Amino acid sequence: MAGYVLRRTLLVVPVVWGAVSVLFVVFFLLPGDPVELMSGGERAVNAETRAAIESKYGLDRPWYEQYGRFWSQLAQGDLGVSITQGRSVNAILGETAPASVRLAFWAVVLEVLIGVTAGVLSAVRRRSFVDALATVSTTVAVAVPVFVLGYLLQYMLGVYTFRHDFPDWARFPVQGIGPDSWALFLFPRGSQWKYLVLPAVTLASVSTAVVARMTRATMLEVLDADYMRTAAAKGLPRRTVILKHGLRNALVPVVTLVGLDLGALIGSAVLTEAVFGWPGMGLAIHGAITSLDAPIVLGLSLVLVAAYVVVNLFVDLSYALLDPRIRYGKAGAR
Amino acid sequence: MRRSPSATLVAVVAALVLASACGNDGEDDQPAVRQEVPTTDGGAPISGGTLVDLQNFATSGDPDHIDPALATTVQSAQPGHLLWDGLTENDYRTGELRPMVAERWDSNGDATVWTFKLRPGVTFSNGDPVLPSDFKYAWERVVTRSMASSLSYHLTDNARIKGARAMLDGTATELTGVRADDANLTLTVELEAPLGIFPTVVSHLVFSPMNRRTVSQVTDQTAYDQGMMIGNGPYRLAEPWRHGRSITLVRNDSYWGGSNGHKAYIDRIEFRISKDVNAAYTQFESGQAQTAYIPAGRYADARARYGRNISDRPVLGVYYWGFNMRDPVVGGGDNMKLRQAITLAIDRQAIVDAVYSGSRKVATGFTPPGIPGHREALSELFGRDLERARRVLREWEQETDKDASSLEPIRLNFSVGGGHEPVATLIQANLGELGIRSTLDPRDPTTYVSQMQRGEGQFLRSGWFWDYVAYDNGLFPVFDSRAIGGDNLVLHQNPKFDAAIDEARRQREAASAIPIYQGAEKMVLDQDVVVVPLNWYTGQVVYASELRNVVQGALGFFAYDEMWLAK
Repeated sequence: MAGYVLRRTLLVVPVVWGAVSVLFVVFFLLPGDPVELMSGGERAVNAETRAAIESKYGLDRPWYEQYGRFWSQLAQGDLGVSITQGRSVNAILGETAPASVRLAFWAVVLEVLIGVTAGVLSAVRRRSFVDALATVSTTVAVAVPVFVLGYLLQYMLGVYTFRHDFPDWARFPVQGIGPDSWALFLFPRGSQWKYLVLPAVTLASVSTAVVARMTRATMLEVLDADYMRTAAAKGLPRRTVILKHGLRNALVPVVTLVGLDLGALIGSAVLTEAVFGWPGMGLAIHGAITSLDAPIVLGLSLVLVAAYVVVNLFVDLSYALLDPRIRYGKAGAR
Repeated sequence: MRRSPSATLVAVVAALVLASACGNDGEDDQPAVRQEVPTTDGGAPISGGTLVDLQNFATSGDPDHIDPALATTVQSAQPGHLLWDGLTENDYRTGELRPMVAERWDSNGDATVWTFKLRPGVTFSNGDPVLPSDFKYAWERVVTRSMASSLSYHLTDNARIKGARAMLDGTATELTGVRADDANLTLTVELEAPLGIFPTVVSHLVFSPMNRRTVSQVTDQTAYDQGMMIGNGPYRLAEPWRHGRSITLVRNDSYWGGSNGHKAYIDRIEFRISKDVNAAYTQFESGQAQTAYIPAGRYADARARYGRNISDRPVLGVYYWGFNMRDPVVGGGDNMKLRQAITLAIDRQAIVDAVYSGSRKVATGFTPPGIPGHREALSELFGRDLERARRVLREWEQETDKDASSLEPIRLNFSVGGGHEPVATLIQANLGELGIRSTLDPRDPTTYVSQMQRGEGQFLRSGWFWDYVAYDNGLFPVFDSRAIGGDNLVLHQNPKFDAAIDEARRQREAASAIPIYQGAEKMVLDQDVVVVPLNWYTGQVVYASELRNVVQGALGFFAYDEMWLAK
């Protein structure tokens, strides 16, 4: 087990190196001139200014020198300096990563709570009204683009409730992270939850539907299994049969999905972040790509890739907890 | 200065989606609208309150910098305009140049040496006096090589202060053209060439004074705006910039009063930062802010709902298409009548209506209203006249022995993603009416300027935002031959024009320079026929009715220090 974990952890290194190197190459191949963009993209830059900017950020060095410098800085824990903002990428990471992690965490919580419940219910009551309702609502949730749902929620719970003098609890702020006040890193404090609800629901919507559908499908498979009939024949209560014997076995693919999703939501919640003005990593990377700010893109992507690999490792390890037949690190144990 | 093009694009896409998602919100919601009460600017000012601003950073996201030495966009310079006072300023309403920290100024005979006498008793918000050496220190900071400021051109190219270029090259460590006499409160500035508008040039934010005592403590000067910057304006920072969240200012209670003789009225201004113009507008509609930018496609709706509470005055920017004057097909003296015909065929009103929902003003010349000396309908080629266009085109065909319909299609160049394609398509249709074929030639936006500088354009889209409220600031950069390789993307070269600019610059009084500038503008528009100005940009900001005395300056900045919140 320990060996397996170690091997998987070390795998982070080549994965991160590969991903960042590809990005680095892409940045050098892309047409475009960050210096021209810095002065607005509509204006000329004089030669002296260009020279000053290029020498300050090392843009006048050949690509292999810039590449080497990136890794040697990284070895000292330094992600570099943003060309457009002239400040450390570590600081930018420190501002955006917590916001991203919090939003993704709550989206995944919603996704699991609602998705798994809906999936189980519709599998157990197959072809009932509940099943139909779950199928229809999840299809709609998948079909509606994130920004449309975001605007709808903003309009209904922000504008409409304001114009019609709804009580305060029914009025939601539609922009920004608010007071940015959290307990134990993840739990909103005071009025913070009001700022969190709409973006979290929006971000969760698509994946919730996928989780529900996958839970339903695997549950249906499991419900037909021999051990389910055995458990029921032993006279166990239906609830125990379904939750302990059924759901636990059905969860392995769902956990995979949710795990991958957590990794993905941290870095790619760009649309939700944009619609709700949530200052996360997705928005920061998106902005940096449009302004050709390579240090931000490389630095933040590096962290995201690493986080993704680690999350995946935990997902793999959790299989063993869910399904005792799965063992790691011992050849031939199965 | 720019409005972010990607924000505009996002706005267009989002507006389309939104229009289908919750289109007619007008009817059922009419009764409860609170913000549609017409504003009365009268009444006595009231002190107090918090203003939440969404028109500035809630469309373009986190700015790169808000340090006066590094803030390149209108949005990023907006907080600075409240945090700092310069030597001079342009009156927000009239555009007239007024003394600020400088009490008075004068120049030598040919406008190359300028002396500013500073007002005594003006202080920074930390209590330190504002001295001539604070200006010198600030200006040197802008052209310091390690600062790598994209705004250094104000000193090196626009004002041409002696020694500025040497500092930027790294060959000097002092701005030799500036002498600061703190004891007598005088600042003397020597320029490399005459510049009658220099007192206007120094009204730009980049020339703001810097408190040496606090600024010099910062090791990395480009990171000064990460902390508590110290200014001398009507507001001061309430807290350091919260990235991606907000920039908050509070009233500077030790402010000397400025040229209007009063401290600011509103206690606290929160510039919220986000990136989605539609969401910001929604937030305004839910009563959570006092200002917002009107998203593309919602202008008519906003007009209907908020009536007069819209600030849509021209903001000193022109959207134009220009001819590459070195191009064998459209450029040069021989093809002047071809350019004339094209100019007369383009339907500016139709473009403003179709592409900008009527929100921008149709341009009747290059220099927009708001610039002292602007003359309505300066150009005789303004206005669509298809018959005359056909007539001059026939003359051109006879004179050059060419056939307009057999020309290679004329390339319409624009940068991708800036929302210019619909305009290009309409122009294409207008040229088609003359029998002139054309083709769209979109280019990479990140290198568009340098492509055009190299002469790769033919009939090319560009825009210009004035940095100063001065006639010169549009004509010199866009049309003077010395700005080729700079912002003269049409590669226009006419010694008579250059001489007129020089003549105007030697005038010490603004009034005597204006007729010369007007003549120069007529030269490029009517004689050389270099550009077709299509429209003048407008502000397009909606505000809550409790916000009073709303003033948006000609350059697009909001004078929040002049406004108050009604109870």
